[in-house]
Amino acid sequence: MDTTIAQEVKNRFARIMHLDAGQLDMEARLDDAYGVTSMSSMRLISELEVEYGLEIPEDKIRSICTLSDVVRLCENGRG
Amino acid sequence: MSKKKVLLTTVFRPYAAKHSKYNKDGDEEWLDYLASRLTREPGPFTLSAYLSGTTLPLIAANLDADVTVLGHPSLDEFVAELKKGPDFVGISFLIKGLGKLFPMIAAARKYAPNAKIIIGGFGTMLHSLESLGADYICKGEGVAFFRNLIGQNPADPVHQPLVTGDITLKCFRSYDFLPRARYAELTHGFGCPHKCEFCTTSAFYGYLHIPFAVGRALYDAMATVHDRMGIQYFYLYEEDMCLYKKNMLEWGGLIREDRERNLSWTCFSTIKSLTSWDLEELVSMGFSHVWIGVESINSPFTKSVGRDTLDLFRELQRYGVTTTGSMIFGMDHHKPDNLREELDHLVELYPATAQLGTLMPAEGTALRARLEQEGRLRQGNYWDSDLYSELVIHPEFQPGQLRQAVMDGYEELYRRVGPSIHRLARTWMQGVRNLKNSPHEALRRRASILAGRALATRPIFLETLAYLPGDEIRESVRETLAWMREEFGAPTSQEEAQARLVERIFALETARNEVYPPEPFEPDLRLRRWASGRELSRAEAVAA
Repeated sequence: MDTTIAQEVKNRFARIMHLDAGQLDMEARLDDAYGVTSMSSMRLISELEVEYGLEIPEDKIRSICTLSDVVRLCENGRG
Repeated sequence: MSKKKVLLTTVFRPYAAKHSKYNKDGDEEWLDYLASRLTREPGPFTLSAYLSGTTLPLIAANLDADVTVLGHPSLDEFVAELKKGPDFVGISFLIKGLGKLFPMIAAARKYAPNAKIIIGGFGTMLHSLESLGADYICKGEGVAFFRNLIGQNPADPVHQPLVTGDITLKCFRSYDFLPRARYAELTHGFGCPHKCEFCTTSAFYGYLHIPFAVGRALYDAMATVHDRMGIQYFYLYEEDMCLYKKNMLEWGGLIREDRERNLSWTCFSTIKSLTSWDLEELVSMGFSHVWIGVESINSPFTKSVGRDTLDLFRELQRYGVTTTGSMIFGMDHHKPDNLREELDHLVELYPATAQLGTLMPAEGTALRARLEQEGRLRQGNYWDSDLYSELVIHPEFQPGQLRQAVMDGYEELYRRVGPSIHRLARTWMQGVRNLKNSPHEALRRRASILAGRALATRPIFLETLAYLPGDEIRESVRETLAWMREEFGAPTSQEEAQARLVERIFALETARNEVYPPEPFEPDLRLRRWASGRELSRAEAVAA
């Protein structure tokens, strides 16, 4: 896993959800552990798309369960 | 001190792109509010008018700042403007555009990190928008909101920007040589004191009225647009225009006395306020079309108190005033049986255009608060909702039933009263016949304006009866054409040639739609810039 991207994902997610980035579990389910809604996940994905110049398809977004999934999508998107 | 820089924009295009998380099927259709919302007709008679968007130019024209307005930019065009370093970025959106706000806000944060981000527009009737990450949500009146942001006195005088559009048949759109009816949009005021529990805009404005054009200012704005652009027809934004009699008598009186410009206007109004008027007086002041929220035969709203609705619509039509009638399906007293009566009522009213919709429990309305208490808000993704979504749990209807009732309603309306363009022409002809011998010169002048409008539609009907939905409608169109012959004589050879052309276009477009799906409409970028209220020329705007 690309640690730079992982840190970026953590920081952005923590800011959006008003959480402490240091306390985040990359493998925890986003809905159960952090109460992520469709609005907050879209916001995270959009920020990452703009930051890295990616375009993540809708069906891939639906398959996201954890922050690790988000990181993998960013890594794959960057090729 | 340098002026603040403000960037105002709609959401980004494309609208017609498929299979994208930012686009839903049919998004582009909503841009054509006549075809998609007020007629929903099949066939070649369908009317078409694209949203011009008054609010952003209205804000831009009234700020002591350097303001750029983008209409339908691509994401790249939006980013290019962000890189110029605006102090404020305002994004206006409809519900359907919500998904596009995510990348736009993210782009604004990246490319204009010091800018404050404001979201506004009808989309703000959605809930939970705080999680989008904008700095402000503007749910009320935008001019004062932005003036406050930039440190300008919100009570400064208001200037009307130039906002124009055109109306034609949808199948004429790709034939640039065909004439179109042009109009301009002006703002009389916002907000409404009637307090209908479902009404989003009046809730946004705290059930108060905020006047924008007082006294002769509205007439002056119309005269300016006429003299500059030759436009005689105006859409006036106001929730219930006829409520403001004193103001109307001032600017309307000037229209009546102006024998050169022949200005006409359309507005929203209510049965209650129209009841207080002598319609002859209104018509003499240029009153030409009115949107009346009928809502239901048994409307529980105070705005519906007054004259009998059918009697009012018929009198309006006798004066050549065309109407839009809107109804809400799924109100508390509705059952599958009485929806049928509602539709029969609408058919009888014979509005030129109509809007059928379902109850929208928008954030901040009394309706939403009540339904929340009653546990009747349906859970679901509100982003995908539209005028026909079933967001309210109704004990008499299964999911899907109300939406279907609306769609069936539009179809039945078309079948029973025919295309809107004919309802317009027929109402204008009623006005011609009723007003041409009026003892009042101002009303005879209106008759002659209506005659011009009706006559312009004659070539559309002469050779196209086969495209109408049924014999009854064909008979009605024949009668309207007979009225025209009686009033204006037989069609000229030029009208007959135009009629043959119309028939060929109808045939071509009908055949083309059978073989190839209609090409989706995709608007171009509209770029406008203002410097402290003065709009820059196109060359200046591009260079800036």
